[in-house]
Amino acid sequence: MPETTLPINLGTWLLAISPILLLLLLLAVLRWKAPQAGPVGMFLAVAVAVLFFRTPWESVAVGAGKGVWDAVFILLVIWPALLLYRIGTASGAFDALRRGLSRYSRNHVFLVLAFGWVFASFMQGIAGFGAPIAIVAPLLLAIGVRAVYAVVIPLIGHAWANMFGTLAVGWLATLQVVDLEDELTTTLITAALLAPVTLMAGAAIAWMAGKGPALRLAWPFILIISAIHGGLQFVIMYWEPVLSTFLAATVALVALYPLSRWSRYREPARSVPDRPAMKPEAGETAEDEDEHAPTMSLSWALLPYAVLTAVAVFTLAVPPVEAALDRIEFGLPFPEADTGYDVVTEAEQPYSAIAPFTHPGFSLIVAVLVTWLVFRARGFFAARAERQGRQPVWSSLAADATPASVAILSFLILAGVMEHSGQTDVLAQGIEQISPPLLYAFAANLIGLIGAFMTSSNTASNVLFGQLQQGVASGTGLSESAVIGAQSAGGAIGNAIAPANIVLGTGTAGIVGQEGAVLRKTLPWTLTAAVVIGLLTLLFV
Amino acid sequence: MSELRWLLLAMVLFLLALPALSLGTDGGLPALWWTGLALVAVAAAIPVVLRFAPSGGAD
Repeated sequence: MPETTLPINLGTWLLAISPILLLLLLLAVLRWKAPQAGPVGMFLAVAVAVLFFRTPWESVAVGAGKGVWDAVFILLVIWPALLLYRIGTASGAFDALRRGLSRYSRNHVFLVLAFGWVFASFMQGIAGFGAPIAIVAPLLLAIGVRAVYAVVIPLIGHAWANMFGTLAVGWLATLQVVDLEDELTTTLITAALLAPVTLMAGAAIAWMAGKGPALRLAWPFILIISAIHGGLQFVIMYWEPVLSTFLAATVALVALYPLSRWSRYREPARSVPDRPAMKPEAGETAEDEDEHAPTMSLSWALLPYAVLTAVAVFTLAVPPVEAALDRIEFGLPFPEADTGYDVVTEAEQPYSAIAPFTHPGFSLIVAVLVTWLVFRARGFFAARAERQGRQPVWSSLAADATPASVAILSFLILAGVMEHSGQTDVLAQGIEQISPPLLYAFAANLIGLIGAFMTSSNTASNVLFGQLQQGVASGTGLSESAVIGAQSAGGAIGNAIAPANIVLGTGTAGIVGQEGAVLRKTLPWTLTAAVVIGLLTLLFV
Repeated sequence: MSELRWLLLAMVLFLLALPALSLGTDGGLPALWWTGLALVAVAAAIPVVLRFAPSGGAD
């Protein structure tokens, strides 16, 4: 990390963390809507940058511009994901999905775990960038999950898969910023730290589906899937880290079929009376029989997800195809930015270029087009409109996506300004300076967590803090592999509380404004996971 | 104007700021990047003002 003259003391540390604390206060305590809380946090970050961190306005402009660009990357996921959801609603696909799946399993605990944990992890393995949340939240709504839980569940369920998901983009980016002595050991330790995270996710989701009785029902499911997620990811590290999460999550997805044939998970969970995550009217038995027949079969309802998966695998997991498609990319240039405390951010020409054909939004757009054409040709929209009236697609899309987009833009501008002014450096270096080596090892994942909270990206967190973590490890004699592993695992779980991810979910679930309610449920899980990761890290340092 | 339209305007202003911020800072054109910053400030102020605006003015 380049030398700066940043004053690292309690005052500057408190100033640096003040935008994050204000954001948490507004969202979780005062229950402001995210599109309103985000800009207030952003204004505070700018004020702290200019008044206390000697940041010239031009550097603020660079940080803000990069923040908008980072947000565009996410908006290219959220708009097509929401459009897919609206098309599904207007065609009756979600109704068909709910009714069709009940033929395989009428056990709500199984279905919630299958979608919220296993399918969300699979989507993170291949697509990432918030797509699992945007895609899974509407699916959970369709099977009768309450809206807030429909956001909470995939946020927790996909977290473990962030580091090596999206074909290990986080790992590849980490290798760009740190020169590791032992890459294999680092991947193995990271996988070992992430294994309990997926186990905790399964257990937490089962608890939400029905507390203790649901846990007693789901424990074989949770152990089998955790073993596949965590164990297979660990083993694949010896061969190819890039494919570790994707393959593990794919095998887990395949394992759902034999599990659904087990009577334990095929029949309704009658032994689970208390169901916090489920709507009271959520059906699992024959009460649906007297409803109208759905507008389409289960196979047609699954078409968007089949197309999405096929396009994502073809464009991202076939190396020659990916290499060819990656040649087309675009981005905007940003110059070097500095501050009065010698915080220098290098020029990038272009900054973080987007390759449109390997961006997860591309898979979503193809899925939207194919779905719309096929559903229209088969008359599903007309059939649905005849029964329940025409459902507006575009106006609903705007109503869902616009507030979420404003929130995401302001969050990422906040993160960009904090990074370019040195506030982010002060946060990390402050923790480093006051912590004895073992305490630092325990807290190392918190630095990754903070980075992911700010940027909603495991990758960005590791790029921000990877060098710092490596520097501390070598300076204190701690294991470099363990500290980088802890950073990576912290970055993964931080995605469960990242405001931009939460807004992505509240937008797709139609509950923009309830971000605080979601955060209050994901925060305790995330902090518990951080403690577990911290304790495990001590075994490896 | 409805709350949704105001938020749509805020989103558009945020996005319009992007080329101004990039080209202004990269090309050494202070007037352009100041315009970008002004667009960001106005865009960010809209949802905050909406929160405190009389409810009759929104939606």
